[in-house]
This record gives sequence, structure tokens and C-alpha cells, in this order.
Amino acid sequence: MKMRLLLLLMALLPLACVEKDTEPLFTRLTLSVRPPQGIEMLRFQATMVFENINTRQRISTSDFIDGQLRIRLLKGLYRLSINEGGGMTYTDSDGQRHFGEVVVDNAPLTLVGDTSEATVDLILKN
Amino acid sequence: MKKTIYLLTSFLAAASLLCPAQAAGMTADTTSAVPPRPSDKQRGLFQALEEQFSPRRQLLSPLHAHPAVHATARRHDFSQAGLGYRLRRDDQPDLMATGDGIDYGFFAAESFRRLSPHSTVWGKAGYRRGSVRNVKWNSSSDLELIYPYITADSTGGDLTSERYTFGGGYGRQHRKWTWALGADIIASHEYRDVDPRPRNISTELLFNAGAGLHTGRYLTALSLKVQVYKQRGDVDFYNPLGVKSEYHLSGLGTHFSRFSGVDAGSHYRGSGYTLDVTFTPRDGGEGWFAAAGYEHRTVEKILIAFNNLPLQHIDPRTLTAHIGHTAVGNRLHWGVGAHLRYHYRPGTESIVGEKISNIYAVVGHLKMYEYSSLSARLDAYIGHRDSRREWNISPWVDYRRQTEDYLYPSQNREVGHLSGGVDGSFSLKRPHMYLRFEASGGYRAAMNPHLLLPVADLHPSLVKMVRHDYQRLQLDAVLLHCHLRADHTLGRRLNLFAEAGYHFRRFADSTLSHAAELQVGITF
Amino acid sequence: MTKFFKFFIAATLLMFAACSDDNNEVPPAKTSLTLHINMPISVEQPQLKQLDAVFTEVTSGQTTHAKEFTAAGEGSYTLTTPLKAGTYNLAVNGVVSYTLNGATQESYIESSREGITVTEGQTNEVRIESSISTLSSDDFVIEEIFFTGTLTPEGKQYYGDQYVKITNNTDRTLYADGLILMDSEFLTVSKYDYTPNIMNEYFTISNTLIIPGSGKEYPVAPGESIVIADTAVDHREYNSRSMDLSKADFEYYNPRDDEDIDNPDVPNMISSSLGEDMMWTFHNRGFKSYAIGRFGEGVTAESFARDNFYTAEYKMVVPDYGTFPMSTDAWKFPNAWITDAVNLSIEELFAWIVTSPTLDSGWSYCGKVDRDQTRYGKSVIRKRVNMADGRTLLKDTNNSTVDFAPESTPSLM
Repeated sequence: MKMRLLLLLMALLPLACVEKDTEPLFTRLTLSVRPPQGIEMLRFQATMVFENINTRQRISTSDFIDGQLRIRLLKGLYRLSINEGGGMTYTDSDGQRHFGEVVVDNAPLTLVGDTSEATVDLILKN
Repeated sequence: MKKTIYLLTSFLAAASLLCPAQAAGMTADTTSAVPPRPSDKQRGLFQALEEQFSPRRQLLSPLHAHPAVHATARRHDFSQAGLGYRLRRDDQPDLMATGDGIDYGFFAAESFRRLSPHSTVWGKAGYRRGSVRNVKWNSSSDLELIYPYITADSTGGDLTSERYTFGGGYGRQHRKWTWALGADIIASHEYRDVDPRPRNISTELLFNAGAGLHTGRYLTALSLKVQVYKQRGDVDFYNPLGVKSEYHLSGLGTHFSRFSGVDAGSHYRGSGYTLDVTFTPRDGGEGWFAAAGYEHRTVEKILIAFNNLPLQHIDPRTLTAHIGHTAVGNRLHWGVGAHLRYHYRPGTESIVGEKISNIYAVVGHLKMYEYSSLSARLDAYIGHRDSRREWNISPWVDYRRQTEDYLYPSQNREVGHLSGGVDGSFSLKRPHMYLRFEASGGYRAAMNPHLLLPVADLHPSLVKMVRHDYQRLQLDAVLLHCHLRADHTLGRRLNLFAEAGYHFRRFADSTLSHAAELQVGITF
Repeated sequence: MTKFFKFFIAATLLMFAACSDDNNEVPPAKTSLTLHINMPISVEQPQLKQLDAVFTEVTSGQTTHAKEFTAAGEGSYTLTTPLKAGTYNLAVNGVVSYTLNGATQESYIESSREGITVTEGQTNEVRIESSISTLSSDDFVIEEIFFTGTLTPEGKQYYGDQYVKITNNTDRTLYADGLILMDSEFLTVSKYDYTPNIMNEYFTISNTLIIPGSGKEYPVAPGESIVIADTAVDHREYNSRSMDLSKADFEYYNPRDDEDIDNPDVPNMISSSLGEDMMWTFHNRGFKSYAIGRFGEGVTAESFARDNFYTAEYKMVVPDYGTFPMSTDAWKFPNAWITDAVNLSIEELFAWIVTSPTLDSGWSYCGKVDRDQTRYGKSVIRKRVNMADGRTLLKDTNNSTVDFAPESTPSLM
């Protein structure tokens, strides 16, 4: 009996004190931005805000490389937005170079896998 | 519901009062192990009181919850019904969610009877009504069961609280076996008449079944308890101009932000089971005892206004173990016991999808919360009894460590408590009087407290609440208690009793907590 | 028994020891973090003039300011600051000078980051892209919407004192004749999959108020405003906590409402609604969105009403009862005709914006929960920005979340 109790204690103690494995809570998202049809994006410069709709936590990043971003987020439902002034330099069908501010669609992204990929369309502001 | 409870309570009270004559008749020809002599009923009632308050019974009380053990736990019939009043005043609440005081009037009745040498029956009924003072950050009921997924607001106030309890069981011995069945119902109703106005109605049903094998003077028993729980909670605002927000707390300083607001109506639905195996002396005898148990429950919180959205659920699991020994000498009696308990309470939140066409879809789950409590307690007692008086000394030491984590953003609260103390009791028997005095003193020392809160990411008033509760938890405290009870003979097997108790706690920050209880009633 | 006690004491001590290491409070070591700031690509020759980087340590709430920065190549700057190991939120504010259309201008930049981990013994770096919105409106904008109403001294709701302020945000005189104020048919608090989905091309509306005039009757100078009141009277005569709207430029008068007051000194808006029993009303909890615009060339109110009818079909799901096909009638107003739009909602119930994100990609509010008692007597007011040429313009980046100051004191109160 004493030995069983000791075993029970030994089994319980690690439960009380181990580091929490939080990795299953997160998704590793690869997000790409897609410019409107007919233009060629030269450089994208923006701060993208991920708002978790359930927790209302906001994570912002501008770590885009060639229009692609890798970020670790709590799994959930996210609304994306681009901070004021974010935009891209691009060439139009005539080869003219421009800068245009952009927004993204307001529809939320559902990110519940351990890894996820998404592409969001950039909409040039008027 | 309310009417039903009233009827049931009244029925049990009436049954308890009618029972003595019948029970007395039954005990006249009983052949159980050590039956009270029919010619000495008054002494039998005093013996029942001695048994009721014996340190042995206190030591084994966790085991008596199991029906097969309960059926064989007493040598003496005992029934009691009383009316009383209970109050508590804290300079600072232990937890904001539990308030800083109570005022309760109550009725409580319990009975244990041997119907025959081979069968026992027991029952209890209770009603309690009063108020809980200054409850903040809690608009729900049954905090200990549904924590941390409570509905809450920063305003709070006093809560009117009613609670009904009703239960009973039946045990029978057949050859080498004892089997027993029991059922309990607990119903509560809590509300407030000023904004915000929570109104919570909860019921818990418990069904017990157990069987035990007699081996010599011991009983080895297995029991199964099944629980069903429901709570309906609403929070109303009568101010026609508007309202304040209700929060659905998620643990420590976090709340489920998306659904905070005014539509705070919720359902809690729970179920669970408990398996216990016990090894204990029969009929209140001496010897070794041991027990182990496993409890698994689940409680789900559902938001009514959001198309019955399952928002959060907890899956508490509890392991318990008890071991000890009791002995009765010629005049001295003693006992020792060790109790271990591990409680683990993970909490899971739903990932709620976009609301389209009036529907909230649950698209995933995240285990965001963990609470664990590991406790060990060592009790001992030694006492002396003769025909007129009895004294007992019961030293104890208790260690408990609680750890609470919210996983992201990372939060942690933990604290250990090492407590120790001595309880003492003295009782005196006179021809028509039984007097009992209890006093105890103890000290609780907080150990290795730790709090980690990402205050920059949390609601400031929730941070304040968590810090307050943590501050209280990490305080050392002096614990004192005294209790006096007097039973006076009214008839052949009827006592009138009165008792008064007082609890005192003084915390390291010089804040005080006082609690007192008065009760008068009859035993039979 | 003796062995049992030994075991128990050992087990208890083991429990004491089990978690103690976690709680030895060691002061976090000092390390450093380097912040890289890239200048906006939307302007020419950007130069960082001022910077204030505020690091907030999340567990203590303590803040560290860093302001010293150095150039690090073209269009880039760095800032290095000593920090204790820990987790930080970062808020960056700065001033950038740049050349636009040949003139040197200055603009504020803002950025933020959450959950930056600063670790001892590692290179801690964060890169932020700064941006400047160079959008400027070239027409009227909605400067203010006071939609909540007020409370009487007795604490009762008071209606009729709502208004909209529309401002000429250009450097030339504009004419308000024919300008249309419209409200959304859809609510920002309940989303359905409406078919056909026309939001990228049209704003779905249910009521319009049109400023009368032949084209040149109501000039509005640069920076000046017009006020469209629900009822243009001195509301203080009826409610001491309200305001004087008798000087409003226009009012909505409903001849079918016996209680409505018509101020003869204030021109009435031309109102038109989908149904005869419908009327203009401000949603005083802020569930609707509003826009201003003008009809396209050759379009009249009558032809618009005739040619732009829109039936939106959707499915209503009632749990435990089933899915029911539903429809709602509205007008569709082309996005191209809209000069400004503002989404309103509340945090508790926000579901979606009911405009194309090119018109407005955000939303503003008064009150955070449904029936919020604190919302009365508050309005949403567009922020102002100082221009390099000394003018003050209303901020218009087509994102009401950043363009508007929510829960503001009404300008006419």
C-alpha cells in the first residue's frame, strides 16, 4: 500500500510542475497578398493587423518578404486589416510605376490547423 | 420546482419526527454488533451523540460518503433537527467572487436508523436562506463547481441565496454482502433585486450505489456515484436607459471578449461519476482503514442568447487516497490518518466562427486553462472516555499547493499553504444533560506564492480582482475556533439541544474574519 | 506505523520541493533590442525627424521610452535600447518629413507590435514598416454624426436633436445642392449571405435625404460645414440637456408625423424612402452606416428609385426549427457615386461592415454594448490633421476606425 501511495505521489508531482506545452494552441500561418489583376506588384509595405474576433487580441506585423508573411498565431477566427498608409508600388498594364494604398477584405479567416495558408486580395483604394 | 422542494422538505421533516417510535421498536430486538440496550434509551442517545462527534468519525468522514460504508458506519441510531443562524464578516473577502460575509437562517435535519439487524436507512433535509454580502465579479452560482467559467461584472452587490438539500439512502446486509443505494438533490436559487440582477437556479442530482464484502470485522466496498448538474443563469437590467457589460470569465484575468455584453443568459450543464474503493472496519469499529477514489466531471457553459452556443467547458478530475488506523483501548482511544487529494481542472474554450444567418458555429476548441491542487493532510487524535466525561486532543497538519494557469497570454497564480493546529474537545455527561466544548487553534503559512499577469494585455479591473484574491491567498493567518453544545433530556428518547460556535481568523495584514453560528433543535 | 510516518513526511517534503525552483525570483538580466524602422515608400525622400518608441513590459506594465535613432542606409533607421529580458508591447510614434508634389511636408507615423520577446544572450530585433496615408478627399466628407440623442434631466430618452455635419474638405468652394444623405439597409450587427452580393459595386440603402437646390444655391466654402438636423429647433426649450439646432442649414420634416416641428427658416431635406410608411430616423444605438453622395449624370431621384431596386435574398436559420428563405427590399447606390461613408456599430455585436472596404474599411461607435447607458449625448467626430501648408483638414483615409474619434462630445452641444 505504501509503495502504491508513493507511486501515486510520484505520478502526480510531475503533473503539478511541468512546463505547459502551449504549441497545440497555435497555428503557423503563411499569408500571401495578391495584387489586383492586371498590375505587377513591385514592393508591398504595410502593417497587417490580425484581430482575433473571439479574444479581441490584436497582433500586428509588417514582416512581409516579397508579399508573403509567416506568423504564429493563436488558433482562431481573425479579421485582417491594413494600417493607414499601407500600400504597394506597382506597374500598371502600360508599364507606368505607381504607389497605391490598399485595403483587404473584411471577411474573417478561420485558422484552426497546426499550419495554415491563406491568400488575401489587395484592393486599391480609390 | 420550488413547490416540489417545499413538499419534499416538509415530508422529510414529518418523517423524521414520526420515525423515532418506529425506530425504537426496531432497535428493541436488534441483533447488530453492539446494539444499545432497549432499557437504556437515554444512555443510547448520549452514546449516539458521542459517536456523532467522535474524532474517529471525523477522521473517517470522507469514507462515510460512500453508501455501503455509510450503511455500516454507525452503531447507534441518531436523528437531529434544528433551526439556526449563521453569519460571517470579513474585513476583506477571501475571494471577491464569494463576498465578504453571509447571513443565513437555516433548518437542517438528518437521520440514521436501523430498520432491522440487516437494514439501515438514512436521510437528510435542509433549507437555508439569507444573503451573501458584497459579491463582486460573480453573477453565477456554485462557483466551486463551475469555476473559472463564471459570468461576472464589476458592480456586484449583495445576493439573496436559498438552498434546499434533500437526500437519503438505504442499505441492506445479505450474508457476507452489504449493498446500498442513495440519492441526493441540491437546489439553489440566488438573485439580486437591483441592477445588475442575476437570477440563478441550479439543481444537482446525485445517485449513489455501493456494495461491500464483509471479511471478518472489515468491509471492503466499491461505490459508484453519478451526478447530474444544471444551472440556468440570467442577468437583467431594469434601468430603461441602459446597462453595463457582463463578462464571461475564462480564468485569472481573462474573459471571452467577443460575448461580453448584456445578453449574459447562460446554461450550465454537467455530469460526472465517482468511483471509490474503501476498506474500513464495520459498525464504527477499530482497525485500519484505507480508501481510494477517482472522480471525473464535466460542466459546459452555454450562451442562451447566442443560439445556445457552447462557449466553454471544464473537465475536473480528482484522485483521493486515505489511509489510517483507529484503536479503542480500555479508556484511551486514538487514531491516525493521512489524506491525499489531487484535483486537476482543465478548461476549454470554443473557437466560435463567424455569425452568419443567425448561427454561431463552433469551429474548434482550445484548452486554455488549467488548475491543479495537491493536498496532503495528516490527522491524529488521542482521547479518554469514562462514564461521565470524555476529552480528545487532535493535532493536524495540512499542506496544499494550488496552481492556476491561463496559457495564452501566459498567466500563472500559485501558492502553497502549510497549516497546522490542534483541536481539543471536552464533553460531560450528567443524568439529563450532555455538554460538549470544542476549541481549536491553528496557523496557516503561505509558501512560495507566485503571480504572473500580463497586465498590459488585460482588463485593468480584472487585474485588480486577480491581484486582490492573490494578496489574500498569500497571507499567513491565525485560526481560532470554539464551540459549545448542550443537550438536555426532554423525554425517553428526546433531547433538546442548543449550540453556538465562533470562528476567528487573523491575517498577516491585521485584517480579521469572524464567523458565528447558533442552532437549537432536538435529537432523538 | 513508524515507516508510514516516515513515508508521509518524505512525501510532504517532496511536495514542498517540487515547485520551489519555479519561484526563485531572479532579477531579469539587462539585454538590448534593436528596432529597425523602414521609411514609407509612398513618398519621396522620407526622413525621420522624431521618434518615440514606448516599450511596455506586459507583466509589470512598466514603460521604457527610447528616442535616440540613427540612420542605417537609405530609407531606414535603427534604434537600440537596453531592456530587461521579458515580453513587451511596443508603440512607436514619430514624425517623418518628405517631398510630395515638389513640396516638403511632415507627417506623423504610428506603429505597434505586441508580444515582443526579449531574451538574454540573443540578438533581439524588430522591424517595422512606417507608412503615411497620402489620401486626401476631394469633396464633402461626413465630419460628425450625432445619432444617440440626449437624456432629459429626468433621465428619459429625448429624440429629434440628432444631426449630421458635412464639411467641405477641399480647397475650393463646393455646392451642397443635390447632395444625398443615405442610411444602410443592412445592419452592422447581423450578417447574412445576401444574394446577389453587390457590395463591391453598390451601397445598399433604405432611405435618402436630398439637399434641395438647383445646383448653385448652397455654396460651402473650403473648410466650412453644413448641418442637417433631425428637427431644427432650439431643443433646450424642451430638454435643458440638449442643444440649439435652430441654426441648422437643413432639417428633416415628416409631414405625416403630427408631432414633428417644421422650422420655416430652415429648408427641408427632400426625403424618400422605399415604403410609404417608412421615414428617416437615426438608429440611436448605432447599428446602421451612413454615406453621402450624388446621383450620376442624368439620374433623378425618381429614375434612381425606379432603376435601382434591389431584392437581397438570404437564409435565416432558426435553431431547432430549420432554415427559412428570406428577402429584403432595398435600393442599390453605386459606390462610384459615393463621396464618403461611415460605418457605425458596437463592439458587443459587431458582425461586419456594410460598405465596400474601398469606401470605409473600419467603423466607429458610441457605446460598447447594446443599449449602453453611457452613449447618450455623444457623437462620432472626424479627426483633424495639420497640413504642411498650414491648413487643417479632416482625416479621411476611408477607415472610420482611425479617422473618427468615437464617443466625443457633440460639437453643437
